[in-house]
Amino acid sequence: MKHALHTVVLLAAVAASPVVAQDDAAKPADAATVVFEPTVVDAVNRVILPGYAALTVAASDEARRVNDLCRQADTQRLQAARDGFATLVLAWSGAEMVRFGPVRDDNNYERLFFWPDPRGRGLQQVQALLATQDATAAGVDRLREKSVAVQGLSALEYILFGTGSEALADTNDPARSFRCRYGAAIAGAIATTADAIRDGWTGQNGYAFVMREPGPDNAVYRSAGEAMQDLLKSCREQVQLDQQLKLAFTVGETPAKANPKMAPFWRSNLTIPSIKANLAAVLELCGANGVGAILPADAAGAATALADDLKKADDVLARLEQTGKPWETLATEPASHADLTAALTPLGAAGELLEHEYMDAFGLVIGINSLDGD
Amino acid sequence: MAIDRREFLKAVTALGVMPIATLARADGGPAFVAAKMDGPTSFSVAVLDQAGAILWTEGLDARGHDIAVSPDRATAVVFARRPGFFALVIDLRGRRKVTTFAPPDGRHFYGHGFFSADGRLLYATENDYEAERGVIGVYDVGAGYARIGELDTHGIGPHEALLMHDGRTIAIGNGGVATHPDFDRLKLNLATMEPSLAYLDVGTGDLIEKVTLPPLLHQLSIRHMAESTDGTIWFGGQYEGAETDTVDLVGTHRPGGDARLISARPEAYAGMHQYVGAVAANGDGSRVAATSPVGGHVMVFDAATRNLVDNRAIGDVCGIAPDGGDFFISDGHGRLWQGRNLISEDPDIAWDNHVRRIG
Repeated sequence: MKHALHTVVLLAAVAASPVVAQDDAAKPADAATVVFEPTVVDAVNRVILPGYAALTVAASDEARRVNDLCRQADTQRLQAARDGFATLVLAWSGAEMVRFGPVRDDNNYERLFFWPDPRGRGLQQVQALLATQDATAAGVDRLREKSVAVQGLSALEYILFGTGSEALADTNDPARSFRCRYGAAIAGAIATTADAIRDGWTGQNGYAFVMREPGPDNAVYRSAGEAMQDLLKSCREQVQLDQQLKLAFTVGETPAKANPKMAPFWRSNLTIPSIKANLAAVLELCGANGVGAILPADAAGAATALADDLKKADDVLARLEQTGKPWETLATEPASHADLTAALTPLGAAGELLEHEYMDAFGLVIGINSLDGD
Repeated sequence: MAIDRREFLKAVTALGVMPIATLARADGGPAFVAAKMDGPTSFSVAVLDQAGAILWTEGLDARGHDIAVSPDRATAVVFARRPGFFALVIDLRGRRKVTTFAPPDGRHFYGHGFFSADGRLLYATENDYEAERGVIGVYDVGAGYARIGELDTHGIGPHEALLMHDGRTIAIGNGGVATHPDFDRLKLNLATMEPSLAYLDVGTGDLIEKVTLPPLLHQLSIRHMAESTDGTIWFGGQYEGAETDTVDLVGTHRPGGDARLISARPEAYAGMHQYVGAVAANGDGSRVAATSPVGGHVMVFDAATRNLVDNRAIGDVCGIAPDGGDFFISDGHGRLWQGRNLISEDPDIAWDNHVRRIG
């Protein structure tokens, strides 16, 4: 909290009058020695925009694959659709950490990734559409008017991997046609949403412009420091989400307390790959090649430490992934449960680095009232 | 550039500057109560005198949020921040902890509450999280804060609730955002959230009126509120939609009418960064203020004309309470403000979200 003291000190010394309520550093000012703007521009150009571009490519490719499966059902095309889903999930997981900007328009984030869903609403709604063969769910435009829970990755995962998904390869199965057409509509809806997010960034006066051009007339960012805060927050929140919710909560304190089916993408066994992709994206954005590159010299070790911590966790996850075992097994077998639990420690350390060392080094300490509001 | 405290004091001494305004007289009597953070894992509630001096503190197990003060000004109850699982009762006259109590299984506190007009019951906003339903828990003060029932808030995510000046009507800000303690503070229903202002009969729990905002504003989470002298509820919202949307964040409602958002020049609301953290009316009800820690600003409105009459920049500001014609304000940098004047500063502490006037 020393930063706050300095703020008041400087104002008081300049004003040479009793301190009054004009704390112009209402938001932390850019640290005098750190210029954030090039790094913000780099983050947009090198990480965020390519991330969304990859998502749009993967989404349109998956839409093509699912449509192909619907035109001609066979196991090969079902496998192709499932493979395309994996690519799509990894692309999303690389962009997932960006929780600001056009993902907040029109519930785009929730349209793509309706998770967590502790009450299982999404599954209930998807199953209801399948049971009633609701024709309005089989077209992209009408589907996008429905609940966000029935038009995103979780819904498509259920179609392609959930109970009854084998029907997609069986031309004699009466459930095939609707299930496939609904799946194709979901894939199309995902592609539409991904395109909307990309366009929201790249369009004229889009969010890329908003981030790159902070200033007094900018409705969102008055300084590059504020944009930097959003970037760091993205990294921190993603690491904490992976550590606390996707892993700690679903793995549980003991194998008997595991809730593996609360994790995202367990049906497609993409839980671990998606978390690995989350962490890789965090490293890309906030590691030594990204935001970490401009850490002041006395804090540069934080970028190295972040990479080390993320690698430790990634190594554990990679090893478990290579076993080829389902996520539910990994979360409940004692040895792999212990491994997953061990991965929590370096992830916790990575979260701490981003929350404290990075923010302190940049002079971007966020007050407790604004950090996590209520 | 950094100047340490010693250099600063030398500098202001040389300039003949009084660094901390001393408008208020320290009379040693309890005047305000607020939760604070003393370090990353150290939390307490502090009772302050009129000048902002800390009279005494009591430790908390986790971050506190808001405080309910009994009508006789003898007791205060500090609620844990959501998802909160404890409330601490303190004796303001005896300067001691009285007891702690917890919500029942399946409920957690949202962090706000109030006493009945006769002081015999305490009401707390709570989350029935498995049912995704807001409730107000009712606790019997005389029975050691035994929970004797609950009222439906008719919405998800009730946050601040207050007993209106008529002594019979509860006003509730149903924020509309579903959360579950298993998922910490993650917002689970942003696409479908339906915030509302609900009014209940304090005696029966019956719904008197429920007011919602237009569909386009369904992501403006109504969280905090205050009542002005004419019975108008002033509320402040937190917007969950796109950052680039321009949204009026403060509104009013009079029972029987529509909720009306208050227009102000866009740059004023822009300074709030789509977030209101607390709302208070001043001592005579002529002014109502809303704070934003995220934007670092305080907007002050004329309660009669609804015009914005003052806009103050204070970093990480949130706590606000009536203080005569103006306000007593706290921030996360350990500072206390009386009106526009800084009256106290301790950079080793952070004042948490709310400050409450005692009487």
